[in-house]
Amino acid sequence: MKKSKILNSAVLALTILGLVFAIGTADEEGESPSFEQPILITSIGQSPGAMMAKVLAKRVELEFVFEPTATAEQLEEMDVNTVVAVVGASGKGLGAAGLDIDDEISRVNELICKANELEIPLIVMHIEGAQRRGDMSNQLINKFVPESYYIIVQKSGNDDGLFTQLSDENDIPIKQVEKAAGAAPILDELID
Amino acid sequence: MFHKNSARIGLSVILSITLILVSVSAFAAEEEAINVSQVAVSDTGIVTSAHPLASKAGAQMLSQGGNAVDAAVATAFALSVVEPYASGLGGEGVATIGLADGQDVIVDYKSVAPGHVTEETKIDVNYGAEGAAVPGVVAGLAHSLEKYGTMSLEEVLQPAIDLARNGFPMDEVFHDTLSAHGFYEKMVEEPEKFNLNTIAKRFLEEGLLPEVGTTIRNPELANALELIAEKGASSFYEGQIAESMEKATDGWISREDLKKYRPIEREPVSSDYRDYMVLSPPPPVGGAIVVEELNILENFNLSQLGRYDHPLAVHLISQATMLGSRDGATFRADPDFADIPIEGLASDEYATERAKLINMGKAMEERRFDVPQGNPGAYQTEEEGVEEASSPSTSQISVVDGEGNAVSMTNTNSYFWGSQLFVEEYGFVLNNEIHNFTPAKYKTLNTIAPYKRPRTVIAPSIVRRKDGSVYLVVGTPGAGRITTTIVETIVNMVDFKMPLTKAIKSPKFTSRLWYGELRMEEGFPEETIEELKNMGHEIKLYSPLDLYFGGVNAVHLTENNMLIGVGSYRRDGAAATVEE
Repeated sequence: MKKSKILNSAVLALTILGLVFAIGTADEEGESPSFEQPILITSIGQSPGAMMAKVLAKRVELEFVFEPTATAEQLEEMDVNTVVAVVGASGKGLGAAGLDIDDEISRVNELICKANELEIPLIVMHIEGAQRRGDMSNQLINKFVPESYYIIVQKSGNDDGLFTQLSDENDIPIKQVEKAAGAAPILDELID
Repeated sequence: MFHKNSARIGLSVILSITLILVSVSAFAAEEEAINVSQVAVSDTGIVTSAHPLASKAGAQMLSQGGNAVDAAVATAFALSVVEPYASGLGGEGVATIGLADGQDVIVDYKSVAPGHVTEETKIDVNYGAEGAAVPGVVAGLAHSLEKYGTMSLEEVLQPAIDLARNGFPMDEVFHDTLSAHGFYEKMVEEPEKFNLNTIAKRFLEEGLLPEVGTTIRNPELANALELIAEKGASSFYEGQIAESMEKATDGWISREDLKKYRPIEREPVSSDYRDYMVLSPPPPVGGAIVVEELNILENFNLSQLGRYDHPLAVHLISQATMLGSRDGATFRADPDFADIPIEGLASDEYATERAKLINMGKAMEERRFDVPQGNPGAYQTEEEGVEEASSPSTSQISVVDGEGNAVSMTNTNSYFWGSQLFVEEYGFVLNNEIHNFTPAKYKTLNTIAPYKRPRTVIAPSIVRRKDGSVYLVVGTPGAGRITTTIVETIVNMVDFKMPLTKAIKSPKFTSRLWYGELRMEEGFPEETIEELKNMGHEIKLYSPLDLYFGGVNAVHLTENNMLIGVGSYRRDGAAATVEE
C-alpha cells in the first residue's frame, strides 16, 4: 500500500515535471530556427494576403522574392533562406492562377517538402482577419500551419483560437497582431 | 468542400448584410420611413439592387414622390459609389423602361469605340486606356431621367453625393473585389501607370486591404457627382470631367469623342411566352437571345414535368440556351452598323425550327461549331441581307413604382474595375469594353469601328401579363450566364409556378458555346445529375448560390397587386420600400 502510494506520487511528480518542461519548451521561442534573408514570399490559397506581405516586407526593407505560386522546382533554383507563406483561400485568386484547391494543396505540399529538404524554415502568416476563415482557408490552415516554424496571425483571424491551438499542439511559436500592419515589425525582428 | 466553404462565406455575407441593413434601418428611422431587406413586400413601390444603400437611395426617391425612373437613376448613381467595381460613371448600360401607360422603350447607353479606331486596332487589351470605350452611363441616366422621370438630376444625385462624401461601410463583396483582376496589386505596384495614387488612399489602409466595415469615402467622386448635379450631363461630356478623361487616357478617348456621345432609344424585342409578353433589349446586348431561348422552350410542355430540377427540364433548357448562344455569337452586334435579323431571332416560327434540332434524349455536342447555325434572317418580315458571323461583372436594378411604371436596368464596367484606369481627379474608373469587340480576322458583325457599340450579354427584361400589367422586372449580372439565369428565373415562375424567392434561389445551370460542359450549381437531385450524364451531358458542379451564376434582383407584381421584391441571394442584394 505504502509502496504503491510512493510510486503514484513519483509518477505524479514526473508528470508535473514533464508538463512544466513541455510548457517551458513551448514558450521558448529560442527553439525555432533562425530566420535569415533573403526570403521567399508565397501564398497558400492565392488570397491577396501574399501581396499584403510583400507590402510589409518592403516596408521593413527585407530582401525578398515574391512568387505567390512558387513551386518546389523554383525553390531549388532560388537563393532564399526563409519561406514566408501567407495562408488564405480565395476562389477568385485560385481561378486567376489557373489552380483549383487540390492543385494548390499539391503545390504547397511539394514546396514544403523541398524547403525541409533544403533546410529552409517556414513562417506562416494569416493577416486578412476573420473574413479569410472560410472552410477552404481552414482546410489549408489545418494542413500547413503545423508544418511551420513560426506563426504570425492577425487577431480577428484567430478569434476561435485555431492558430493558438495549432501552435500549442505542435510547439510552434506564435505572435498575434491587432492589425495586419503589425506583422511588419515582427518580420523585421524575426528575420536577420 | 465548396459547399462548406460557401456556407461559411454565406454566413459572413449574411452577417455583413445584417450589419449594413441594421445601420440602414437605423439611419432610415431618423430620416424617413424606408425599409431595406432581402425580400420586401409593398403596394407602393419596390427598388431592388445589388447593395442595400443603393436600393435605399432609390426608395428615397419614391418616398419623395418620384417614379420608377427617378428611383432607378438614383440607385444607379448610388451604386457607382458603393459598388464602383461593378458599375459607375466610366461604364455603360441599358435600361428597359415600361411605363404604366403601356409605352415600352429601351434606352441604350452602351459605350462606343473612340473615333480613331480602325479594324487594325488591337482589341485584346483589358487594362489601361486602350481597353476603354467612351462611357455612356451619365448620358443614359440623364436622358432617362429627363424624358421619363419627374425629378431633377440634383435630387436624384443627392444620396450618391452623400455616400461618396460622408462614407459608407465597406462590405465583404467590396473587400474581396479589391483584389479582383490584380487591382490591389496595381494600386500598390503601378499606381502611376493607372492613376491609382488617390484611390489607393481612399480604398486601402497604409497600402493594405482594410477590414470589412471600414468606412470608405470618395470625395473626388462626390465632386464629379456634384458637378453633374449642378451643370448636367454636359459637364461630363464637355466640361472639366471630359478634359480629365482625355488626360487620363492620354487622348485615347478625346473630348471630341465624348462630345459626340449620345444614348439611343430602341424598340424592345418582344414575344409571347405562354400567357405573358417578354420585353428585352435588342442587340448589341442579349435580350433578343433571351426571347429566342424562351420561344424555343415554348415548343415543349415544361409545366407537365412538374419541377425545375426534372432531368428533362434541365436538358431542354440547356439545349435551348445552347442554340440561343449560337445565334448570340453571330447576331449580337451593333444594329446601327450591320443588318441584324432581330425580328427573325424573336419569331415563333424560327424558334420552332430551332426546337426541332433538340434531341429529347441526347445532348448536342457542346462545342462551338458543332451547334448548328440558324438563319433567322429568313424569318424577317422584310428580307435583309445577313452576313455570317462577352463580359462579366455588372449590376442589376429592378424597380416598380406604385403607379405601375417599371424599370429594369443593367449597368457595367465590363470586368470588375473595368480597365483599372482611374480618372483620378474625379474618383471613377473607366470601363474595359473594347475587348468585347471580335477580332477583324473572324469577319463577324462585331468588328471594331469608330463610334460602334461593342456587344455584351446584358438583358434587363420586363415581363407583362396579357392585360398589359407588369408581371416581373428581372435582370442579372453574370457574363455568359446572364441569359440562361434570366430564362431559368422566368421559366421557374411561369412554368413551374414558383414564387419569386424560390425562382431566384433555386440552383441554376448554364449551357453555352465555349463551355464544353453543362455547368450546374450544387443542389440538383443525384438522379437528375445521373440522368443528365446518361443523356451525354458532361457536368461541372459549382457551389450553391455561386456568384458565377449572377445575382438576380427582381420585382414581381402578384395577381393581387402586391409587389414582391428580392435582392440578389448570390450577391449582397437588397430590396427597399417606402413604409406605408
